[in-house]
Amino acid sequence: MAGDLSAAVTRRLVALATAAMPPSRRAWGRAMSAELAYARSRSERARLALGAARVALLPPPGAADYRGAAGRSAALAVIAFVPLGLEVYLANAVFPALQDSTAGVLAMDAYLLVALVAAGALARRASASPGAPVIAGIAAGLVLAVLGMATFAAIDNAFLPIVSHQQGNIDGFRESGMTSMRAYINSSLEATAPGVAIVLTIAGAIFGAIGAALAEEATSAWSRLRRHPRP
Amino acid sequence: MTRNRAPSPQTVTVLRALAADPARWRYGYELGTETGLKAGSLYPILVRLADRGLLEASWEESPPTGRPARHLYRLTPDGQELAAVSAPAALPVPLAAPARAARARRATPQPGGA
Repeated sequence: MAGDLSAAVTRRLVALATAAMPPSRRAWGRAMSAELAYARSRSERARLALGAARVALLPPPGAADYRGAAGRSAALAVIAFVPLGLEVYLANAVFPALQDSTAGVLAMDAYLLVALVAAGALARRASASPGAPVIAGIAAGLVLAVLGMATFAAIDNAFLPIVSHQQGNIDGFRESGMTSMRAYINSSLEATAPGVAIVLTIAGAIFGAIGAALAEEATSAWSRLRRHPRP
Repeated sequence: MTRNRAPSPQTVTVLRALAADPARWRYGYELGTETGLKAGSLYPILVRLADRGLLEASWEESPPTGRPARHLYRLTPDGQELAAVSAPAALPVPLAAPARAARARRATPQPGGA
């Protein structure tokens, strides 16, 4: 009974992984799915399911698959944004500070750059095309920009009484000559959004390419180490 | 832009396993058992070899009743050439224990037979 259930679950997992593969790779997913019927134990089935998931998430380099590279890096950006969005919420609504700390802003910038580098590295694993990491970085940068601005808009409007006490908003509101703090904050976000999108898109293209180069170097170094292990 | 890099040790292990009897079609499961590679490592290698025209793949034509047809693999002439160059006998033996390799060799699949 438990064996039937685990077989059904692993079959379903491999089917999902196959559906997530680029169309040109789905025959390989079906090949792994067929092998599943011949696996002798639960652990063998689990290993095959994990293998299919790995092929789906990190398909071997093949023909240029820009859409796949962009899609995967966009998904990575969404996942990477979760802690970032949480940090924005905590820092603005739960434990609000009157001013942003320089260290906090730098840490957030560094985190964004690491996410863009990771998007490029992921794209290099998935496609041999030199343009794929750049496309992936741009997609990740755009997703991070959209999610970031949407999060700030949601938090600033939902927690207006709290964020309106931030010194930067007070100073900006005073200088704007506007009569509503909400209108001031929303107009600031609107004015900032295109710049953020452009900066993160350019950063995505650059750091995506850097991530791809680092991934390639790391793969070569690992391969050399495997071939000539240190005594 | 395609680069011709030296194959990784894992790829060499797969090439050696396939080159041991190049005429024979092999199952993915059998290759995994023989080389000791997990599916997550083995299949990407097979995909890359097939992309480069070094491996031919075929679906089993008469699978056992009630079971799905499996994918079968063997080296193309180019693949055999690469195996001869990059997987000489002096390289370490396959990662799996010899007993496991022997167990995996029991079945001799053919595309047309079970």
